[in-house]
Amino acid sequence: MNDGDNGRRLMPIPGVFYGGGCSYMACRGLMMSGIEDVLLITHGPVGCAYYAGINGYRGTRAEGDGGSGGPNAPGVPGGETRPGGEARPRHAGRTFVTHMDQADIVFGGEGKLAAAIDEAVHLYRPRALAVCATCPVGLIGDDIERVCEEASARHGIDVLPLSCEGFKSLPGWLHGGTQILDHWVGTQSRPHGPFPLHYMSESFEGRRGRVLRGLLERIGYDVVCSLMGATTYDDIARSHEARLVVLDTGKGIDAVPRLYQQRYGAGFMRVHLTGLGNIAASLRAMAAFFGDEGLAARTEEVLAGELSRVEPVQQMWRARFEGTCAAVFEDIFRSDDYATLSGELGMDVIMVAQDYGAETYTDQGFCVHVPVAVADRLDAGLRVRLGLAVGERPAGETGVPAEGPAGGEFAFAEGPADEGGVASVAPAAPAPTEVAALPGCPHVLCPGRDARWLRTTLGRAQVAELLDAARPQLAFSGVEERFGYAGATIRCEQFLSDERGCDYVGFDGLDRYARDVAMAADLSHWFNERPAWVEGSVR
Amino acid sequence: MSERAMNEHATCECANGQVDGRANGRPAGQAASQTAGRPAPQADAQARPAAELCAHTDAALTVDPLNPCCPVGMMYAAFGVHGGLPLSHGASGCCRFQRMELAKHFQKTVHVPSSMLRDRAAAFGGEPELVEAVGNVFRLYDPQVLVVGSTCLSETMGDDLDGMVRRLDVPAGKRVVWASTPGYAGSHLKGYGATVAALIRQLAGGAPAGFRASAERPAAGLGGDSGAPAGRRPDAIRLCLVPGWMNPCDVDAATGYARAFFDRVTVLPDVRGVFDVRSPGNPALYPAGGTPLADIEELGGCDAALTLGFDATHEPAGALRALLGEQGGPDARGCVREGLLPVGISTTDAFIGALVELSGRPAPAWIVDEHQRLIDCLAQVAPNLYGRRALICCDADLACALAAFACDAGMVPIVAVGDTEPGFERRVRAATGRTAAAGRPVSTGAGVGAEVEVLAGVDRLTVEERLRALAAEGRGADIVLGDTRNKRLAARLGVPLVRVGFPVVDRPLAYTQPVAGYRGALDLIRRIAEAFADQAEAGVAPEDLAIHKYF
Repeated sequence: MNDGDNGRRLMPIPGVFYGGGCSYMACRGLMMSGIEDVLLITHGPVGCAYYAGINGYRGTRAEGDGGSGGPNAPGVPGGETRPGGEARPRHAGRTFVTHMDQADIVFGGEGKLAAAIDEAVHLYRPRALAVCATCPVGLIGDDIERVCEEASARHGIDVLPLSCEGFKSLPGWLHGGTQILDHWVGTQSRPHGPFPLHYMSESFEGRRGRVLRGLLERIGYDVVCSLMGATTYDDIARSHEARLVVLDTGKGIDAVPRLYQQRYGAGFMRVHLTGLGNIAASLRAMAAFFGDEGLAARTEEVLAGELSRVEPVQQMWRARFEGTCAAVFEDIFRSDDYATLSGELGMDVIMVAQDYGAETYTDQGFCVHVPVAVADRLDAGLRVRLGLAVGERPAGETGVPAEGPAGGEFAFAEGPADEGGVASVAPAAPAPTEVAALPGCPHVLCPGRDARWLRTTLGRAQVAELLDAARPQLAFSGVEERFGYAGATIRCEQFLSDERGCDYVGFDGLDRYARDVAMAADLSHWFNERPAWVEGSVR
Repeated sequence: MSERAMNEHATCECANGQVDGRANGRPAGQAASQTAGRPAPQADAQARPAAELCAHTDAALTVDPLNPCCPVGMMYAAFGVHGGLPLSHGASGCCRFQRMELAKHFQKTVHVPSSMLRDRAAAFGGEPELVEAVGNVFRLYDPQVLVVGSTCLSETMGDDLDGMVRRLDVPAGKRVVWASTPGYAGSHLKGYGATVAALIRQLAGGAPAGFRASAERPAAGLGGDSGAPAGRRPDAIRLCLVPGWMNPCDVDAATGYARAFFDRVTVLPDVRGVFDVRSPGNPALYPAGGTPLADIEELGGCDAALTLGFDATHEPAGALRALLGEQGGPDARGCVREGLLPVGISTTDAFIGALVELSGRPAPAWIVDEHQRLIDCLAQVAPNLYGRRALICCDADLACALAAFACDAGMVPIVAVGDTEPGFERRVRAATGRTAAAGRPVSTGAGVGAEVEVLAGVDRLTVEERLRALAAEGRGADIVLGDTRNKRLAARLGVPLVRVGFPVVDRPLAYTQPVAGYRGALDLIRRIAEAFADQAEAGVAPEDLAIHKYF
């Protein structure tokens, strides 16, 4: 289901805590909610729409202007200016739902949906509509395709049916993306600059989106569309004119940009604009795709300017955090970002990852990367038990980096399914492989710092043993939850709760991340120390 | 012009129409009644069916719904059991949406497992997934009580949870409870009530050994010295308190009062020490709070029960009546009392009154003092509040109590709720009427209570348009009391929002601000007065700011 994200994914196993959503969430939230002038009606009971409708206006029009900072703002090469004074869509920031009740479930909701579409058109005159189905709709047999088709004919605007019932195995983002491409993309055209780009990312919205857009425009790109970020119906209709689709997300939704690739011959690559090294590598790869010397030169120019701007900041934080040991368990969102940013602050990062080859829940087969510097500090016996013994490190296998983000699959170390058990003493732990980069973090930019990792496969108890011995000072939520590690001295909800998003995109993201770590470090004494009288207090 | 007013089914024509305002024995004044949105039956005997009054109530499109759905209530209640864990029997996303709403409100990680139903289950039933999920949950997270709640999906599929749960292989000493909580059945309060009722019905079946016989159970006045049946122990009376949907700090306030009257108070569910503390890092460890399973199993031993709210607690009250009735004989039926959430002055007065009656014990002086302090403070801020119009837009139980509270403070409530149980308007009118605890008139001026306006079963756009229409008549809202999702509404109306209820997800630590009891009411009065003061000073030139205007 997740062909692009290095084969790593969340495992939906009944009864096991799961961070993922469902088809409706992916379709409505990921694919549709950023399209500012398309009115979304959720067809179903009240809850799904209530929960999903938390976002305010995320679009491109700043308050009180007619589109400055927007996709076609003045100054974009070849771009046209929006008609002056065009306001935000009137339905912006509102949530629409058919609010099915028991009777609708029993007798069907098609009539209610048709009436709801009529009312929405009447009230708001949107550029287009989309209807997202929730679980019961598919079960009771409402034919939303027919209802939408008839409504479209009635009102003369597009009404896109999205059968994204939550239980469906077909991912909602893929269904939404396919429907958008099938029905909307390629229906309009506009003049564009020489390097038309489709920047597909959730972070391409609001203030951050404007910063990213400014960066890309300085290099010379014309961002014609930004599916998942803030975008418009018209931008999507013209998005086939982008020569390159770049995808910047932690989610494995490559199949959508690949549709552009197949149908319109656009180039496709994954990029990552979080972490300095990732940004540099991404921008260079994008310039290389277009093969234009001027573009490449401007890329280097902008990069050099930005990197020298943030270098003092990076140096300042490195002086504080160099050598701090951090541990990430990959079963949280954006842990690649935590690992990369920690690396750029000079930290030693232990990365633990579920063995996603396994289809059922298991306590075995965690793929673990331990910095050589940390492994060398461990007790020799423990090193042998955990398969980290340096003496047993196979010669000739050193320095093999994991493949880049735009590359193919990352293959986990083949772990013995039975032998690496929890209870066993594991006398024959597999020999470690030495790698120069963490999976998902191939471009850590930390000049002058030698970083190498030993890769091994461990059972859960072994991971816990490793953590207890290495004592990382900073640990992210998965580490504490899954392995019961409580030794982190830098503690903060920001990192210990996987519900808190992390937003460290762009060149200034490193500074924001470092501030969060500093906050955690400076306030952790409240968790780690208590007044003497607490001991012996009476409850 | 308001958005819906452009529709041919324009703004309600009948907002000032005569309603049967004599239901409460007083003139209707300007009372109005509306129902819009879904065909949820709002008709009840006393408030005239709203559908008769408004022709536009059949809008198919809900714009900005007012309430979340049942399963989030299931989760909140299930976590209120010590070692309790909810399990969502449905698709993965629905579970995530709901637990995230709790996580955002309490600003902490909330994990809830799901049976992760997919296409196969949708076609053939979800029993294999449920069996696998329950097995994994007990193996990985080791809950004491697992509460399985249904969802839109599993209910529409027709999964028979009762049968499935009976067939489950449950580890020794562990319990599995199931509740029917489809998302289309009502608000989060409904799901909460269904779950609490399920806990009572499925866990509190038998009375423990040593429990007093029915002959020993008095009908009321348990701890008093009059009419006590022989053999009972007035020195050890026990109350079951079903607190309704409140934040932990408010449950604590209610429990504090109850403890002043009863020797033992079992709070079910008890979210204290669960949602107001950080979750243990290890998911197989549970926070110290929550109602212990043993206490639930012994509920039949309670001398009396008091439930707070209606939508969230009417079903548990029925379950308690059945339980205590069975256990204690016909006399015990009177021992289950239903009251409003103790939010505000008259509702807290009524709550204390009920505790006095149920326990047969007098109120301690500190409660009298708290009451008096609140009245004194109300007198201080009365000029800031009197006659101001408050839109109360939150869950139905809190809305009912807040409506009474607004009248207590001399404010005029406009009450708007989404999905609610039939009879909401009648309940609001009863709460804002002239009688409260012990038949004592509440401090409501007749003119204040008479103007109460109730909108039930509506969406936020309907509320917004009604408020605009009222504003055009000079009767618009001066302030909004409600959850976070009112913020755009309040901004559009240009009035402050005082955040109360669930979910408040945009102000840090809002869940720690009490509203219940006399101290909560004091805090609320202070916040309202402060909001008015801040609003009055917003945008004023620095040299024009008066130093002494507000105390």
